[in-house]
Formats: sequence, C-alpha cells, structure tokens
Amino acid sequence: MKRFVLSVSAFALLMAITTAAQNAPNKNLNEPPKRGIHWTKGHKPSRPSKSANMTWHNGAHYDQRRYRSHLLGT
Amino acid sequence: MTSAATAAIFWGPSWVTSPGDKISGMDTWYSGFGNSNYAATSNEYTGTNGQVTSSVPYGGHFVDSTTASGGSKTSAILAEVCKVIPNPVANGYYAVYTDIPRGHSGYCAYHSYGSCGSTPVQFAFFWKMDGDPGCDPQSTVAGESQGLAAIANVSGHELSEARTDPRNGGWYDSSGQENGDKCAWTFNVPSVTFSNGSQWKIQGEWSNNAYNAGTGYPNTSGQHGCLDGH
Repeated sequence: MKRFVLSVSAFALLMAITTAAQNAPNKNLNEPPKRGIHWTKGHKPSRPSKSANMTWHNGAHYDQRRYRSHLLGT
Repeated sequence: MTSAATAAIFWGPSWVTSPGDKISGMDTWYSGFGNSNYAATSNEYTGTNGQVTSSVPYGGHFVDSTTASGGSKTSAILAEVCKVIPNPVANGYYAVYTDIPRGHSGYCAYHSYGSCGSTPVQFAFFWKMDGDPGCDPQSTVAGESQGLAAIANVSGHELSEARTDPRNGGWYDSSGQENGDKCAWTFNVPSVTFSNGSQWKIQGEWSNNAYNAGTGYPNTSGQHGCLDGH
C-alpha cells in the first residue's frame, strides 16, 4: 500500500512539473533575432547556398527553424 | 534602408579609462563610410521604400560607462540603444561596441532590430576584439591598432547587412545569408579608401550584379560575387 501511495505521489508530481513547464512563458519571445552573425575565422556554421544570388523577401522573415527542418529532410 | 542614420555607442567602463584609438578611429570610419565606393557596393538592392543609397550620415558617438552586457541577449543591446540614443529614428542604425572580450563565443558581432517606444530601430552588437585572433583581419594599414582594425572590418559587414536586410525581410539567399555573410573573411586588397580618405582593411559585400556579370572577386565558396569598391 505504501509503495502504491508513493508511486501515485511521484506520478502526480511529475504531471505537475510537466504542466508547469508547458505553461511557462517563452522567455525568448521578446528577443529580437540575431542576424548577420559575423562568425569567427574558421567557424563554418552555415550551409552552402543552393543559389548564389540573394533575393528580396518582401518583409518575410527568415525562419531558421524551418530551414533546419528542411535540412533534416534532405 | 535607403538611407541609414548611424551613431556609435561605446558601452563599458574601459571606454572612459582606456579607449585607445578605437573611439576616434570609428568616428573616422563612420564619417568616411557614407558616399564611399565601399558603401555603393550595396546600392543595387531595392525595397518597398526605394533603393539603397550611399547616404549614410554619422551622428557621432556616445559613451556609456556602465558595465556592458555580453551579446547573448539582443534585448539587452536594444535596451542600451533606447537608453543612450536621445532621439532614435526609424532609419537609425546604432552600433554598440562593448569592452567585453568574446571568450568562447563563436562570433564577433551581429545585427538586429527592435523598437524604442513606437520608433523602429536597427542596431548591432560588437565584442571587444583586441588580441582576438578569431576576429582579426590582420590589417597592415599603418596608424591603427589591431583592435580598431578588427571592429572596423566587422562594422563593414554589419552595417552593409543592416542597410540591405534591416528587419529580416530584405535581401538574403536561400540559406539566410546576407550580403556581408556571403563575403565574410574575404579581402580583395590590403586596404580600401573611404570617402574621407581613411583606409581600412575590410571585407567585401555580395553583389548579385557582380556575380551574374562575373566581375566580383571570390568568396570562400569560390563564388565571384564580392565587391569592395576599391
């Protein structure tokens, strides 16, 4: 019985922590994005461009998360 | 930005006690950037409000001797801009030079954007680059310290990008690289002369036109699209 009560308590605590974490505000929501990062010499975080030319994006923001997902799929 | 109104903020106590040649040097740099052939390398790009021009007036510098933050939080840099700049403008570009070495950070600088009240602003963050081999252009131009040469080179990168992609909806390639990113750490000549006669070792900026015409010099990927206006 004691083991059962402990298990239920542990489960309830885990659920409470998970719920709290999901409801926590994203502290980065108001962080402007870093753009044009000038990486140090020899630091190569960027991927080769498919197209060399730059294009106008008409106000559409570059979404790094989308690009990463795309990379995973290629 | 068709015209960028620039100002520099030197943030940190050591800018008061030991500025070296960096504050006066960057005053010279910004004063000569406008109407330079180097600035003109970004002028082929257009936006909804017109074409980028070499009109880049410099409003001078501000020194804030309070302890600077690092670059991890862009909101802290934006807050510094809003604190220090008395009358920010929508086409303002405010470069924040801190006195903090980058340590293990893998970057020398970045640019970003936000708002001071209801006024949109553009800004950039720079580490202190004295004695930092990762951010050193290895300039041979006489009469300047290594630390000044380093922030001067990186300033060309960030300002050019802010002019062509000020708020992350402008000009960049399919990888998200802006015109400075695409030519980072590529130098065509030992020094480029600005409109006031000052000379700087400075990276090129990407030109679609030069790439398509085959008239640029190569970036690290071998693409001949970089120009430095020399």
